[in-house]
Amino acid sequence: MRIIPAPPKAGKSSREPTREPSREPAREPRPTSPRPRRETVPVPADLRERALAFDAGYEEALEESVARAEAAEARVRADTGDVLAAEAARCAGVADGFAAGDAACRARCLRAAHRLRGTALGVASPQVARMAASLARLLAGAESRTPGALVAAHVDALRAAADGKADARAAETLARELEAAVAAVLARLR
Amino acid sequence: MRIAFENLSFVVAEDDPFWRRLTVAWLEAFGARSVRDTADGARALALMREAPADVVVTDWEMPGLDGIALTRALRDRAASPNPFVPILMLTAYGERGRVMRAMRAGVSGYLVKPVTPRAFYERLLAVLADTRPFVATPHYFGPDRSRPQALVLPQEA
Repeated sequence: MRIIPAPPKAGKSSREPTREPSREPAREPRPTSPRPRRETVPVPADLRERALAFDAGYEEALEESVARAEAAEARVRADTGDVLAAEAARCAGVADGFAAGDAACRARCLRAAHRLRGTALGVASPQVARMAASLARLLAGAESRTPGALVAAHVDALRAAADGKADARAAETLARELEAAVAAVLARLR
Repeated sequence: MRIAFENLSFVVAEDDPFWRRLTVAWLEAFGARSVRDTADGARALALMREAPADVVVTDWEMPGLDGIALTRALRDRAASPNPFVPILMLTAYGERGRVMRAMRAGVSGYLVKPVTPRAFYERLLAVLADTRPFVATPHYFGPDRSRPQALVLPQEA
């Protein structure tokens, strides 16, 4: 393996006009604070040497690997069943009995909402992802002043959208309304 | 050029079961030699201490030790089993401030969900082919992002 270093950054050209020496009296040099200690540490090359192989073309290797991974992904999706409804039910369970004054409860709800957002993005359910993101934004922004009623509204909407009880248009309207309500609460608290 | 997955071991830390299964399935389909997975950062750190993996893939939000704390623990030169280990963060957080926080913690790469296998492969390749040194300051140990990336080519015969 050969490493071609990146070209150095362009410095000043010799054609640049030179500044005339200043006629002002020389100033006292400013006292400089000591520069923070900074050490450059070379990375051992053994991993790179093991990790990269040059026995195949880049495009060819990429396409083969991606095709295998896409087939594996299809199997995972077939096996996991209705993962979105399960995650929405989990999030609803965590949010049941939500207490805004309990920091641990808020942290659990925030993690559950964030996790649901990730799952929704994975299974291509943008409305559920928006609602979960909206709930996470509310919990992170309002903290101990989070209105319990708005948390409950998010949970109801998430359940309906994840179970397929709300069609795509209704879910989008719900998501938009929840986002607006959260924005209003956060603006009021600021 | 390709990633020689047959030579590489991975630790995957992800609390979302769907994404954990998906990430493991991708890595196994790519041909990874070994993939160990866990739902929390503390267990990921324990797995690294038992037997350091070549690459760590981590979520941000996890119970207990989150992805940022895991990254900081792995970049701790005094205590880490391998402070140079490439760390790829795979998260639903895409806000600029979050990305900057992850970079300051010392991650090698950052991917925002949803992710395709192609994007995952390409990001892994970029991380593994990174030839830049690390930099150590009182508050940071990790890739030196002030330097431009070099080009990796096969050895000439």
